[in-house]
Amino acid sequence: MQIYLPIAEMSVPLELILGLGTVVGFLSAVFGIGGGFLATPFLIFLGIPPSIAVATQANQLVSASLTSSLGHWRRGNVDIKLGASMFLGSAAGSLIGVLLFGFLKHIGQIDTVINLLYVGVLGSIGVMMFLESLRTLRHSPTADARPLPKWWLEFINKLPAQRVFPKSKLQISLFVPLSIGFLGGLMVSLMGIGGGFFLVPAMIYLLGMSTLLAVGTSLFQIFLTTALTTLLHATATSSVDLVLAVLLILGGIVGVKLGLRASPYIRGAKARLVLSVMLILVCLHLAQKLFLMPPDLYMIQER
Amino acid sequence: MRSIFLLTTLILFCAPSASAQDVSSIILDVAQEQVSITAGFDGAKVVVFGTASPQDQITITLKGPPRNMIVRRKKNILGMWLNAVSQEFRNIPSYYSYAISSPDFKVKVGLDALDLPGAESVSSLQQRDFQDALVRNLQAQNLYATDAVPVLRPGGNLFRAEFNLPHNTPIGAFTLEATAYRENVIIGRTQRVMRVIQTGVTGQIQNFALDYSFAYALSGLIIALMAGLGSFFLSRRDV
Repeated sequence: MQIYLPIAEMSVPLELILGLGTVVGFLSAVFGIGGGFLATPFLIFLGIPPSIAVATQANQLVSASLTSSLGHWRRGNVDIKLGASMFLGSAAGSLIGVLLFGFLKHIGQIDTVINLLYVGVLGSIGVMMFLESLRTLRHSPTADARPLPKWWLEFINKLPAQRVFPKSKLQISLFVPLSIGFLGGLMVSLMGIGGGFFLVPAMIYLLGMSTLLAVGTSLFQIFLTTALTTLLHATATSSVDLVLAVLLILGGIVGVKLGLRASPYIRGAKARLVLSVMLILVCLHLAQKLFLMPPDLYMIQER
Repeated sequence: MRSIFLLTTLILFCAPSASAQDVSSIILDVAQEQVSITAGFDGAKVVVFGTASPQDQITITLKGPPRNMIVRRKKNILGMWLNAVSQEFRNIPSYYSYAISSPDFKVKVGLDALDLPGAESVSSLQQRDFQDALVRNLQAQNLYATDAVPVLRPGGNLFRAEFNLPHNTPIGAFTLEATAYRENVIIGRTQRVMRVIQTGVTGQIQNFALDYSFAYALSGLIIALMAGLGSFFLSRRDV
């Protein structure tokens, strides 16, 4: 069954979009990764303009990250103060990202930049996850509480605006969470992904937070950032397609429910190995579009 | 059924007047003056019909509302294929399809006859490449026809043709133009306008988004918030 998207001005198969939302929800429930990095390229592949794909995906992320951050908040895994400080940075990142998006679209480079960002991001998460799951499968102990390098500690201790974050038991310059948030905001507005794969390791390895607090706080921050980004994109360029968003959200709810039921039966490391191979394959596919000579050297764009 | 009724009325109405004044050597009408896009839209047929003398050749063109398009050409820069040179085409039809009454009727009505004014900044040879790329890409999106549609002559003065609008059809005013030729000389030409609009829920959503973009953005956010909350309470037992 085809359904017409009023903003994209084209129709798409209804089952396909619901299915996509379900896969995204399932992945986020099982692996804690939003799945935006699968959804946005897929929507673009269907012929939906990149701006609409990214802005609508940000809207779905609002709903998904709200559900998950509420779950973490209930179990006390959210540092509200730290998340809010990161949001100050990500709000700026998101605003600049939305402006940058418009500029890149104007000069005709938005597709290349989105592609390049995805190749970099998918490649790095894919390889990292691949190596990590191999290590776990070989039963070598993962170094969880890695001490921060000395030069880094000295550097961040010299930065101004030191603040105390009691929940995370941290004293750190406000500029560190602000910069991490800034990069996260850019990712949301340019790629339509939450950026959890980047935020969580950054909070663990650069701030020295515990994994659970890092996951919960990053989700809270993603929730605030995606909410702002979808507002900015929708107001500035009317690029959120509500029909598409509702379908993705509905599929997502089903997917989360299925994922939560299935997660006890899915062996962590092996499943992550499969997912990482999938990510690397998508990355290679996108890279080939960038680096191999395209069948048609020309493309058209409406002005 | 309705179009058959219209057809009959048309014939009854037009037959005497056609002989009375020779100026209206071709008459054209469209079955539906408005194509409505609703939630289940997956393309539409545009049926046109009219009258002309059986001995005449007929061509019909259907053009979508004019748009400005940019054609970009990729170049290998540092190993990556990036958009490098571009050319803008102003006011070109966003949709183009044509019908001819007999396949061997050689007349300038196809894509070669399309006048696509481009910028003067590139050489004419390059201009030709860009123009070909524009047409090729629009054809790939089913917005430009690759072949002519037949003009059917069911008998008498009647003629009829069907055009297909794809699911990604442009929205706005389309122009239909029918031309009658007698011994390769144009003896009559007539135009009709047809509209493609979004109606129902999809139309309301689009108008809402364009007219009240902040309220639209806010309602999108509220939907996402409610779904997020709802999903949290639904799966609370599992989390």
